[in-house]
Amino acid sequence: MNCNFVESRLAAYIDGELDGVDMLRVRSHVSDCRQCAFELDSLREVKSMLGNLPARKPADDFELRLLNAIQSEDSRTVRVARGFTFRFGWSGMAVAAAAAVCAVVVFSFNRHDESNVATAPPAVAPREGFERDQIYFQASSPLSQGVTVSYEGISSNR
Amino acid sequence: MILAGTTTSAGENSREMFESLLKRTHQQAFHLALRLTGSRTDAEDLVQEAFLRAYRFFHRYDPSLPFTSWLYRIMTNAYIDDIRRRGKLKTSSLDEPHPETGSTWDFPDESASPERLVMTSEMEAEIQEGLNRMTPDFRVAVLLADIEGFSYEEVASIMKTSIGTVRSRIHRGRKQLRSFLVKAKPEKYKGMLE
Repeated sequence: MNCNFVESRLAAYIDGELDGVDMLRVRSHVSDCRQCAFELDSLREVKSMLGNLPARKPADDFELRLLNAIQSEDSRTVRVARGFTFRFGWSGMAVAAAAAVCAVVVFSFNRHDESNVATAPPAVAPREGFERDQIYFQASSPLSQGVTVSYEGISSNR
Repeated sequence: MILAGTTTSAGENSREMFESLLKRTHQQAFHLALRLTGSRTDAEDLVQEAFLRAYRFFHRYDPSLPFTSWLYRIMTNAYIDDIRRRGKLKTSSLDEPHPETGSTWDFPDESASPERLVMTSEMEAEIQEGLNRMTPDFRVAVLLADIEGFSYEEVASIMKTSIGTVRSRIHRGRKQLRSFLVKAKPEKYKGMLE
């Protein structure tokens, strides 16, 4: 075992991250090699200095700012049931609305064979009890119980 | 059938859980971020970015694993990504002013040179400057091991690399820091080199 082999393992030796055989090898070597023993002490000192760095705390209002950021993030996020989450803005809303309308049109077309007329879903105004800034689209298929896509938190000033 | 909405009970529970974890871990995360970035403002930005990313993908978090490990993986990735984006991955020369702060090695003169160095505010500043100069990947590994006390296996998991690479990064990172200190303040740290 030479000094190069030992030197490259000194940090791991200090941290107790060598396997048993290598630990014994390094220990044996540094007990006989003054240069490697010095290097070991020196690197221990570096580790000690880092470990003794004082813990610094953030500003008092940092937690509140983080929570507010999470809340803002929530208002820009649509969470689909069972944890599937994706983000989208106004363009995404338009695509989602178009997709919902198309799905309803196709569904209605297949259901009304006698007339072969697709009935577009009526625009539905926000019902009582819903928050002002909540937008939703409802498919009024007779077989559906109402497919609702909601997006909350759109403020009027956006 | 509700397909979407932010007010489901599962969503609320998830958010409550996340906020609870945030309250418990944000100070520790800030300390690590401060040592990574060397700036309180940058540290706050990094921590906020990490928590936002974590929140967006909280449904992927495995509660049986430590939250901090998961959060730190996100945070260190964000940190390294940011450095790469800014093209600052190369290590600075000790002879040149710091590219961000413009500072040179003009530390307060201290004649005292005790055998066992006692941490002072000046020393903290010197060590932080050395950390700032360290290769970013080395800095992350060193701080996760020496500040947070993670094992090499945990550091490897957080950094998505091998234990051998972690061992090398920690070893070389500590040596970089020592070289910086000796060069910056030889009268104080020369005893660390033969």
